[in-house]
Amino acid sequence: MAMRYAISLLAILFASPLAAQGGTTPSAGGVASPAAPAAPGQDPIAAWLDSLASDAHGLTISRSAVHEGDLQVGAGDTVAGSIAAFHGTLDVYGHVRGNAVAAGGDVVLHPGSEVGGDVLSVGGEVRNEGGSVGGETRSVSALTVGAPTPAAPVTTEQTARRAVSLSVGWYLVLAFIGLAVVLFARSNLEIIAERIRTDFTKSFLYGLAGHILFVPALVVGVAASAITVVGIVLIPFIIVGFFLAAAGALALGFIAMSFVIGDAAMRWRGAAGGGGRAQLLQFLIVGLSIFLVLWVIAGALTSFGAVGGLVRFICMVVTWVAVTAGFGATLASRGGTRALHPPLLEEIEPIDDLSWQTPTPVSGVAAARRPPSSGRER
Amino acid sequence: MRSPGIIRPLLLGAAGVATLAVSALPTSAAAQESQRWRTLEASRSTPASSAGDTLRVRVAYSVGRLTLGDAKPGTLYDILVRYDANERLVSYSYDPAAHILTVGGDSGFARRFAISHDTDDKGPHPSLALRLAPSVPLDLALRLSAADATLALGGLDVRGLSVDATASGGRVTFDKPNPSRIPSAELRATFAGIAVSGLGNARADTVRAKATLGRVELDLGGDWTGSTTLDLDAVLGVVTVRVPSDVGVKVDASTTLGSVDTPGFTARDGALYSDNWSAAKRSVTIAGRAVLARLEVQRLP
Repeated sequence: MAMRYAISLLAILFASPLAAQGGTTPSAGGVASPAAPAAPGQDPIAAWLDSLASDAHGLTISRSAVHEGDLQVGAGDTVAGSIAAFHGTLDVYGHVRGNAVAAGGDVVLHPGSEVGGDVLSVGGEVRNEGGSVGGETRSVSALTVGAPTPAAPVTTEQTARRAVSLSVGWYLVLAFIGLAVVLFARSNLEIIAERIRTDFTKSFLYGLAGHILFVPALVVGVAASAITVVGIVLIPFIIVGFFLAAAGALALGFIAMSFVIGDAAMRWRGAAGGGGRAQLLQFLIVGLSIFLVLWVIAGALTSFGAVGGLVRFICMVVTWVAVTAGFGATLASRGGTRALHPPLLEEIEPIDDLSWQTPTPVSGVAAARRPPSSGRER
Repeated sequence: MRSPGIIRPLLLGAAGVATLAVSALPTSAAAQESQRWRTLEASRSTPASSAGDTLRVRVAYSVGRLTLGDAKPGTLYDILVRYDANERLVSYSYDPAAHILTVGGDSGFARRFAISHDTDDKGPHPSLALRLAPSVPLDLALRLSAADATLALGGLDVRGLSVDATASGGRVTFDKPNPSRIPSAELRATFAGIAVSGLGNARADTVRAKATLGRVELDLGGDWTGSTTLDLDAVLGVVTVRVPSDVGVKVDASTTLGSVDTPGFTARDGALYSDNWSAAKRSVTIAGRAVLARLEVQRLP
């Protein structure tokens, strides 16, 4: 029942991050708005003109030359200076002595039209259908240099959703690693878990020491390698290997810790310990789920100010303690290769050469007579 | 009881953590994707007043694909740049008085074009497509760094040519005869490769090429007459010259721990001559230096 529950939970959680991501991922290949968002209370056109003037490919245009929406310069019309359409298309049939600009729209130069300066489209294109341009024609997908563009404010809902999906993502990956560990390194997992159960404090202190001594150990290892020529060549591999081993020990330790917690939780509920792989996986999933629930709650409470912060802090402390204890147990057991209590049979040493022999009377043992063979025997 | 191996669980854990790290990347990358890539297209009509003046073009481009070719009639230049605004700043300018077009800055290209990673195989590629007026005399100077360049100069009026490639690949083609002569063309490849085809069509009086830890290939095919000179330097590299069979070739090369491969040539007066040297209507004189390098002269069919 509990296993079914865990699998169902896993299936639901697989769907969750996808749904969450769908809401937060921006549309691929989208083009940034040609106009920089204005600060609250600021005229958006003025803000955009500031950006335009600052951009390497921009122009300087006065505010009075800008019109919102589509704009047209008639066949007989002449614009003495520059002209710009903001979030609209600029159709030029007549003459523009200055620059012709469109923000978030196209500039169309119709036959017979004439622009003395530059023609620029930001977020659109310039279509020259027979006009003449005295200056340069250019189109840019967006302004790249200019007034600083304030980042879009992130809503509390987005923050919470991101935190929850992050937790779920971690959960899924750890569950996957846990599955691999149960399948391929079950004995290591059990030995590390036994260490944690037997002496949690010692495991935690080992883990703490491991955290502190990580960098010094790396430095010593590299320095020792530098003594020989072969060692110098191996230094990059040693560094990478060291980090990989540490990452592996952390992951393995946390998985073992989750397994111990799941085991304890299930026993508290009265589950019997069968010891099969399925039950190991069940305990592991339950343990990881407990951490998941903690982090999901913390993520959901992100917008609740101090309370959310406190919950998140508690989650961090709990997780750090779990990771440290698991890491310590992994180190102490050499990655789950050294059991705390070796099996009894291995401890018993023969007292003398004869101790294993069957006691035999000095007078000997009468040989038993073999029963007569049956007729079927050949 | 058999002691379980330590490597297996550690590798499993490490692989898992690596997976975690990798799985965290796409979210942040996708979040920025729509903000990063920009296109810039700029063009200018050929001014009637300066139609006969030489347009000096200075290009410094790194980490991307560069193409150069001829523009539509009446257009002086046409630039199309695709770039990652987070990684680089595209800069170009045209000075109508001096008749200079500068793309990417004439100096300090590393400041202009950040030497960065933005050549993701699966994602968009940074690129610069430059098209120039076919009728305007051109003096071209290109500096490439970690770039992949294709320069189709066949339809242009080239009066000066300099290509400096570092850690790049460059292909230069002259598929049509150049309307003007080039007094001196310069090619330098450092940790790079430059291949020129139809160099005969370039109508260059002198071609200077240098390969340092790189390779330069010069194909002298094309429609040309008279004589031309190649001044070649190879340092820890290879310079290969391919010459049409009807062209007379003289090679005067010095080597320092290097070699000169000129199969079928005859040594005379300290130089190597092809069999048709005295009778050929067109000729090429090669002066070369090879230091820990190789100079090759091959015959085109």
